[in-house]
Amino acid sequence: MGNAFSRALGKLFGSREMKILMLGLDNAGKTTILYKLKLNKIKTSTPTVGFNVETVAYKNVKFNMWDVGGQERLRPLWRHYFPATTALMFVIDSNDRQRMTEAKEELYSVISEKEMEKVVLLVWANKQDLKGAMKPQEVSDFLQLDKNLKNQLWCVIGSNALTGQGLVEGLSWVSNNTAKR
Amino acid sequence: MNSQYRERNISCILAAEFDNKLGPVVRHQYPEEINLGSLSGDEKFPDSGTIFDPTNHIANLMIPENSERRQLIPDFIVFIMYLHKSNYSYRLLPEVYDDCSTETTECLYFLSIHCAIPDEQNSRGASIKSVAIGTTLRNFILFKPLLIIFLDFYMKRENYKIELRILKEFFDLLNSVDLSLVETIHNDIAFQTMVHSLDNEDIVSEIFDNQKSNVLKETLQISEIPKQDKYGNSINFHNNFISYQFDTFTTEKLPPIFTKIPLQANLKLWSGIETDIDYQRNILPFLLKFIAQLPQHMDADDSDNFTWKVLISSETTKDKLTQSLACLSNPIPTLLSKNGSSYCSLIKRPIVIVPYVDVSMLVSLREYIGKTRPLLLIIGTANPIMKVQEDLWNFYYDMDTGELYSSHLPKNKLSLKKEWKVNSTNIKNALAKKPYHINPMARGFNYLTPGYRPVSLMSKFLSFLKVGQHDNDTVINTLKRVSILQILRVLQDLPHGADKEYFIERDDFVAAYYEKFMDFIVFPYFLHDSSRKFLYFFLSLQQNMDDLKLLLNDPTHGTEKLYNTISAVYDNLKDILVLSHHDKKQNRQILANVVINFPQLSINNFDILEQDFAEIDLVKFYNDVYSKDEMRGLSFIDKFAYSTAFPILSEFISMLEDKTKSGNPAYLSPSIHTSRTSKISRSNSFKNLLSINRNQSVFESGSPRIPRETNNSFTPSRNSISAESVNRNNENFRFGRSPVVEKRIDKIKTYIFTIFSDIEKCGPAGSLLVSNYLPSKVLSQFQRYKSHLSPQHTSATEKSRNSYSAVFLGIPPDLPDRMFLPTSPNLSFTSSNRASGDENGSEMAQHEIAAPIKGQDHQSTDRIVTARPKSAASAVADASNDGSTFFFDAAE
Ligand SMILES: Nc1nc2c(ncn2[C@@H]2O[C@H](COP(=O)(O)OP(=O)(O)OP(=O)(O)O)[C@@H](O)[C@H]2O)c(=O)[nH]1
Ligand SMILES: [Mg+2]
Repeated sequence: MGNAFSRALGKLFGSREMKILMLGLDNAGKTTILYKLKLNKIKTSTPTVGFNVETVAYKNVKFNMWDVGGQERLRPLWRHYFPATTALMFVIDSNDRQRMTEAKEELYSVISEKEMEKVVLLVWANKQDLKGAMKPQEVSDFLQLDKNLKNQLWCVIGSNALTGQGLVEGLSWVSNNTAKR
Repeated sequence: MNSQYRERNISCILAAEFDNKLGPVVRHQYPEEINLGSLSGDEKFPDSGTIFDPTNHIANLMIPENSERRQLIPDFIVFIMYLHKSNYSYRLLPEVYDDCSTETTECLYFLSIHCAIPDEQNSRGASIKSVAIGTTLRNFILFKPLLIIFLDFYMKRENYKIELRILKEFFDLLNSVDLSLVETIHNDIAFQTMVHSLDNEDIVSEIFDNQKSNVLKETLQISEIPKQDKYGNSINFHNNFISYQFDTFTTEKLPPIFTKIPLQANLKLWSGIETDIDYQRNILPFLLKFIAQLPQHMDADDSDNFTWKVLISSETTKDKLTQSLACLSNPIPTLLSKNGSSYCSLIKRPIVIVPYVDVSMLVSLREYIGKTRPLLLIIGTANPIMKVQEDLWNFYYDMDTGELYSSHLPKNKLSLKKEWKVNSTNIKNALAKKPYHINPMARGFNYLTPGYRPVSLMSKFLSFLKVGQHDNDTVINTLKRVSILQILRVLQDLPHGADKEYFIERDDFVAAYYEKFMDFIVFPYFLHDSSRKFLYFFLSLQQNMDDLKLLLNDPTHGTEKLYNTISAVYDNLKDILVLSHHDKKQNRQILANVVINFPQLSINNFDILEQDFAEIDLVKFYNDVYSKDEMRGLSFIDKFAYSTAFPILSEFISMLEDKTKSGNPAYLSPSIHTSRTSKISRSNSFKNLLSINRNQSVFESGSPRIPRETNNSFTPSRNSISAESVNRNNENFRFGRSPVVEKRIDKIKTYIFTIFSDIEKCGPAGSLLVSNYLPSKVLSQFQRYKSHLSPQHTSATEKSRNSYSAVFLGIPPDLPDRMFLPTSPNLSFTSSNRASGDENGSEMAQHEIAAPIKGQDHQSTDRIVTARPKSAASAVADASNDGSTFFFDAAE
């Protein structure tokens, strides 16, 4: 009941709720991003076993953000988090050139799933502060999203999770590019 | 599993850790022979030995979701692996045979501890490790303290070989004590049912006090309580706990501290697992909401296919979550609980509880549901994404907020009664009629299914148990008694009377029970054929006694009517005895357990099947029922737990005492108490009887009894009736002057004493029950009675069959004192029955005679009621008959 009411109010004042799924290889920076956004703090980072979920409010939008561990064995479990996802945030360690192909493969295996057909895709080219990091444009070219994604909205944004650079831009893009249901 | 492992306290030990590249991996398993699914056979990392198996879930359970958050604070997780006999491997979901067959489900309980510690060597800054032990012991939590210090020690080792060595050493340490004694006591279900049912702590502590009683010795069939286990480790008893020292183990790699911490085992254990969590806080809130949402009556049509799927989620500790789930198998019989698998075979569908499920198990879980179609599946989870997996639940319960959500229920599942059909005006009317805000369970039903739900007795009691302070035993005992009331209610519907075929098959009974009381809470012990029969006999006895009291109070009754009622009481008692003497060892235990659990029946003023208890003030109700004397100080829940079978039996004896000693007003004094020094006195119903045949009516009307607000007759002044008035009323005081009636009454008395002596012989604790639960007057009569049956009296006759039947009935063939049998010189059962023209009686005698014993001295002695305390040897012989394995598996 309370839920329906606040949803009605939300409509009136333009607030929305959406489920965001954050995926990416292990060590990409997903959890760091989540807690930078949520708490504006860098939590001592250990690998995520399973998931983290937090609600991040940004401009009348409540982002229900799911961050799922990226280790090899955990990746087959990603699909259980697919249902009801509005946006996929795929985090890439731009400095980890060796695993760029692995990241690309994982990204495509996710967005080619039927359940993920309609989601908007935000790629965070993370760790831009590091010297050897690939630039957002390089990452974008490498992923060949323009060529492969015909019906999906997508965007690559450079980020530095430690300082928070690029994070708000990412949320803002997602918020602007999802239908006001 | 090899038998060598079964004898061990722990069957295996596992170590797992989080691998930064792979995720959770099992690193060690010792011994490797135990087949934990595909884990053992799979490819291993050549150098590290890490066991690699992507399909295996154990690693995910040992390093569970969010375990990285447990920095320096360990958490536990309980999971269970069932032996699949088809390939002799252990799996997380139980194998279910086509017919849900009664094969006992063998399983290993795993207690796993995990923790994350900061680690500079680790590229991700921390390492997460876990150690788990697998055991058949249901009290596995006793290993908790040792596991904590072991994990701390283990975490600091890095070398694969050293890790394995200390794991082995720890494994050997835990197996260096012999816990078989504890296991024997735990598996004795009759004994456990008894100690858990006793509301008198004094008796319980006496049972476990080896100085005062021989109960443990006799239960264990040993002559001395040992000071050491079979390996030479010292053991100590303290109340219901036993502690073991690791005296014989010498540590090598492990620090000596490991042998300094004793293992403490609780000797009391319900049918499920031992737990250190609090039922009231962790289990009751769920049961309360869940059961309030179940339809009160099951729709028989869908019962075949529908699966009730319940997800319980909590993001607090895994320890709390998984233990809560695992111990739900105490009130809800599942494949986990003792007798649970046989119980599931009765309902032909399994009831399965999986303490913890993460997303890695979803595929196998779906497959499992589709294949085995359990009746009820309860799953624990820490991951809120499970809420999105809507096909996996009809009810989603959030333990942390206490909210229950329901979904996907076919409409007919939740429309309870036609008149509450989901339809706005009806709802409005319903709410107007029964304002739901007074019903604590109704809160929040808005987001559940619309429509008013009547509150069942079970729901009502759950809501009572939720408030106040109740320990786990009280919670379970209360639920048990409500469930017994429900069993009685179903029994009531069965045709009875002259027709002796009133006992439908157990399967049919169980089906009927589920159809009528759809709450999943039931205690299989009381569904046993003999339990049901005893329950039924006592129900009928109670009703007949009520009738009798009414008659005695009514001067206008005819002798014939009185005779018939007395005969009905007589028949009930005879039924009880016949059953108790059939398959004695088992049935006497059941008799004793039925007697100490037989509930107060005044609630039958309501039809508990149909009544909506939402607005019934049960506190007031029970206060009125027990408005007098010593019960006053007791809480409502304690009053409810008061067992009435002993009083029913005793009150007849008291009446006889009245009769034989009429003129002596002592028996009328209000101080007729039990000898119990307990909190609860059992004297209430005697008081009712004290005023037999007074002119004013004191019997709260017949059956069912209606409690009165106030009852003047029980004020002390009324009770201390003078000798004079007794004498004046002496004429009326007789049960009628017919010698036939007199004779029958004396028989009844003999039967009651025989029942007492059967209870005494039910097992090691039997005599404690009798001496503590009988009112002192009745007890002393019973003892006098027994003393007439001293061995000298009986030994001469016991070898003859005829007198055997007399002896069996507790009737001494050469009773010198006619006090008990004034009109019955012919003492054998058969002939006395013939004398009274009772056909049924001879049936019983024949039954006993048909299976006589041949000159086997100790057995026949055992059957004779003697005042002599039973020797330990004969008790042991007695106990060895059916041992501890019980029930549904027992052939009938
Ligand atoms: N220099 C730099 N380091 C970062 C940045 N974002 C994250 N990191 C570091 O990268 C490491 C991994 O970050 P996490 O957020 O734990 O990575 P994750 O994607 O959650 O990894 P998994 O949980 O294993 O899937 C941590 O040591 C972070 O401090 C960044 O923008 N710049
Ligand atoms: Mg992470």
